[in-house]
Amino acid sequence: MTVQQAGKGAANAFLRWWFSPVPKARIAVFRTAAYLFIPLDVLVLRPVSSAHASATSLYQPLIVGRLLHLPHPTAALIEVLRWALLVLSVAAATGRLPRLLGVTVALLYFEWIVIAFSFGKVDHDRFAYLVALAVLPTVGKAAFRDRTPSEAAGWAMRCVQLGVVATYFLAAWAKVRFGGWEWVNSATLVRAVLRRGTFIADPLLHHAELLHWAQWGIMAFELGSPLILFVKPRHQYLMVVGFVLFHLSVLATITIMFWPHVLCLIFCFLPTERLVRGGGRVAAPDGRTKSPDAAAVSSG
Amino acid sequence: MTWHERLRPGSRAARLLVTAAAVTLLLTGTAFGDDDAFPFGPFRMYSTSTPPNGDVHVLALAARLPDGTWKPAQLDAGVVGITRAEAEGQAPRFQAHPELLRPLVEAHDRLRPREPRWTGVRLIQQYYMLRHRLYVGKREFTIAEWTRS
Repeated sequence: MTVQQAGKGAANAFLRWWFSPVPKARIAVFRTAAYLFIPLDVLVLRPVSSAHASATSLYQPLIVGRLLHLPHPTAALIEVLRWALLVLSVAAATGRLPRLLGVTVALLYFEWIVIAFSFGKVDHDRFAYLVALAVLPTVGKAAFRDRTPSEAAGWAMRCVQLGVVATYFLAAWAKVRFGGWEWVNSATLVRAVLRRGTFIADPLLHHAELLHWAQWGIMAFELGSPLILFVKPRHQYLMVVGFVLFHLSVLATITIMFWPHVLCLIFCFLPTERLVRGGGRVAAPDGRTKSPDAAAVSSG
Repeated sequence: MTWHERLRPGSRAARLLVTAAAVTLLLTGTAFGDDDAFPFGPFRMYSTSTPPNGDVHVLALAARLPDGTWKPAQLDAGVVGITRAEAEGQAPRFQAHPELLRPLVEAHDRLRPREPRWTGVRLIQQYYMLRHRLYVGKREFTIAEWTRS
């Protein structure tokens, strides 16, 4: 094999990885879940932007807010954003006008989150979700019962998967950068429990060695997380379960839950098109339909 | 290979370019940026190290009631418009400009209209002291105070 052939083979493998087809039904399911999450988030999970309406003078713009000259938020602006998000996200969840509504919702939600994060605290549970909102419109129409494998859908899901993994892997990088390698031997989890521990976590303060070991576990898990991108689907599903259990244990101990991140984690790795009953129609270019099993091979 | 919907070479190239740009920004932010670089900043929640014999910093709030007494108050967005973490993020500003605490009192007026109106607030820096990762005691200092005149 010549160097040229090897190079071409690697380029092909790279393209196959980025654009490996995914059934469009998976996008339809993801889209509904992602857009219906917005009302839940705005009204229940993180209504903090609404609370900020009472303290807008404490606004400290992020770099992106200064670059794009985003307006200083007022109570009225926050209220308009909130209602626009509530109405348009539900409309987008129906799957109609996927590009127009998808792009509009993505921009509005981005502004909503930029405001939320401009008061002195930035969270990291939204990165993969923002990626999802950005890429979902690029797939265009996708019906629940359409199992046609699509490269556009494949790229979109791959981007969300990368966003999920980046949230873990780059968090390990940040720990090394800000906390140093001694982070694993620090008392950071003691701090977390002292600050926001639940009745489940508080007894751990008397067994600080468990929290110490947990820091090694977290670092190993975050550094190893990219594995999920390259293992077989069956192992991917098991890893998703493991990751979700990690988030649930964080919720149980310090009441922090990465809701939108976990949504992405579940819906970008699992073959959710199987949730749709009666699915299986695959549109072929000649207009006939093919049997689902022959054509709807998901490559995860 | 079974039939599937393909992308045109131009569409593929555009997607790869956008991906490369986003990845580059994210890696740059992770290596050199800080929280204000969101969405391309470092994922730094719980990224700092607390020494096993160090202090855990917690910011607390006290409110002055109409009768002049002080009582502990919840430092939370639903009560004063910003969360504890946000107040901690802006703590140096509050310390340098205590008049910035005024919006917290006004936010409380709006968010909790049925409670007695506060006539002032204090930001209190608490230090939970650790020895060998175990909690051994607490010290606290007022870092900023604002009262209605």
